Amino acid sequence: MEFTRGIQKFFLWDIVKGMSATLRHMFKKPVTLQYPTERWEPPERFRGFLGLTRDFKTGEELCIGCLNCEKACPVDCITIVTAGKGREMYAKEFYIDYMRCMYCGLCTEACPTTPKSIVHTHQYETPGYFRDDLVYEKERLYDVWEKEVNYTGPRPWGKLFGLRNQEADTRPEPEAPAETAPAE
Amino acid sequence: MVGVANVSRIEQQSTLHGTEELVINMGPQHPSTHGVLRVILKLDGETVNDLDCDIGYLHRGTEKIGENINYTMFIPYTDRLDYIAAPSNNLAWVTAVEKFFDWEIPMRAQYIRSMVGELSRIASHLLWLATHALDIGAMTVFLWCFREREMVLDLFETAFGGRLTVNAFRLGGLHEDVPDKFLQLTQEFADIFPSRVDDYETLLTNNRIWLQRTRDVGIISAEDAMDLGLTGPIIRGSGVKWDLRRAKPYAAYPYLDFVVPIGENGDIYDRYLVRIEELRQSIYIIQQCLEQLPGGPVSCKTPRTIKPPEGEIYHSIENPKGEFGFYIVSDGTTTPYRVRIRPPSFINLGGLKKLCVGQLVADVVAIIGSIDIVLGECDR
Repeated sequence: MEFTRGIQKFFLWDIVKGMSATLRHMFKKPVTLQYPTERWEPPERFRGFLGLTRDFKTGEELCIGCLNCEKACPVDCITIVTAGKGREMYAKEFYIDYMRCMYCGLCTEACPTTPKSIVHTHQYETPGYFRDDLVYEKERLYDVWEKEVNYTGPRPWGKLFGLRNQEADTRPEPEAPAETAPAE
Repeated sequence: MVGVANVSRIEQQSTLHGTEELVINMGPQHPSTHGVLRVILKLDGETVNDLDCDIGYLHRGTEKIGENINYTMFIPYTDRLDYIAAPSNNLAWVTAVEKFFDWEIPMRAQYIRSMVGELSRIASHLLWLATHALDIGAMTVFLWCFREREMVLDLFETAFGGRLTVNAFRLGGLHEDVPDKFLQLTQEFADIFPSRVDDYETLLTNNRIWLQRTRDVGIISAEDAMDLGLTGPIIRGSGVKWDLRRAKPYAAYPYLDFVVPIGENGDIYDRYLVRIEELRQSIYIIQQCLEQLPGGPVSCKTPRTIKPPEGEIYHSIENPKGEFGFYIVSDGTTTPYRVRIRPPSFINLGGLKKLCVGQLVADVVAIIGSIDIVLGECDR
């Protein structure tokens, strides 16, 4: 036993074994992604940018201004000003401060409407040049949603909105209103 | 033995030339201190005579934040403590709060919690192995470990939507059931991962440089480790069979079979072997979870506003780095009166002086790596 160990040590057996493992990996495919040219598809439940949703057919805002998401947010990044009373209540102003948002998903869980009026979209490229750019007001939050409508990957809440997932069909919807054109 | 011979030679030299004690500053921006740890070393030649840790550079007042927000809102904050294994922290908080109530958590949720907890243990140990090997000088292991860690993070993302700050569990179970794709990908991962661990071992376990850097370096005896309150792989490396998954089982661990690996000498090499064996045991646990996974609901009925009764509770779980506990005092309202976190990194870092004094300055880096600290939970 001691003899074989000595022989192995003399002929650098541990180094040879390690090097052969490294050499084996040289012929494997690289696992890296060349980001700006190659894109990675977020999974179905990905928690990306928050967006406010519209009813797909009528284009109505779904938010009822109940303030549940504002209360549920641990970092107070949501500010809502409501208008109207009772069933007529809606969010007159809706701000999300993306410098604070930590993408925890508690606001979407607190939303009582069906389908959800605030959802995590699959967008993840969200830089801005100024601090003010990152405080999103209501119009821009709906723009986020309109971009998301054109997203082609699988979405967990796609069915609720009458959107089909990629596996079921390609994107164009029969009743898709032409006015919700992509923002780009 | 090599280390001891060197020490005596340096001592002789230092007395011969009349050298004096040198105080040097390591960190907080040193790449091998794993975050923003500052170590003030007192050196005699290359031997460490004394050291002092300066922590708090990453202090964010998490405990105080816990007193101002309700119990559900604090779950994302626990992600930011030990950010390398976020679901484990979620599990600690969630099980601690659930101890106030007599809810029956469904078995499916318990099994998924155990499974995700073990995945996070794999993620943490892989990052430890990667950076520890890089500190000592092995670059290849770093790249390989990160390749597998990405796979684990992808699994978290498939199941819960987040990669690093997962926000995985809710009070009373899970928010929603994990998708089938997650179970399928976990099975694939569990199939290939043991061979990858073999690959790491080919590079390190018998490598002569690795052995010279790790064997008989940073030894701590079982008695000293217990006196200092060290937990996790560091105390198991010293030969103490202390694992909270066995000692105080939580989630689905009472129904799962696994071995608690222990070392003999309590040096860096033994801690390395313990963690490598834990990687294999974690995969074994995940495979059992996948086989035994029961159906049914994933959440019990919880009230809309969570108001625990007045009282106090301490609950701890076995995090990848050691015993991670929460001490919560409730005054019967929706927010806790006091939240105290027992972070394993902070208490394990207390053993650094004991481990380092008398060693060479180059070994300090290896010893800090072998304790496996993360400053996010140390400074909290």
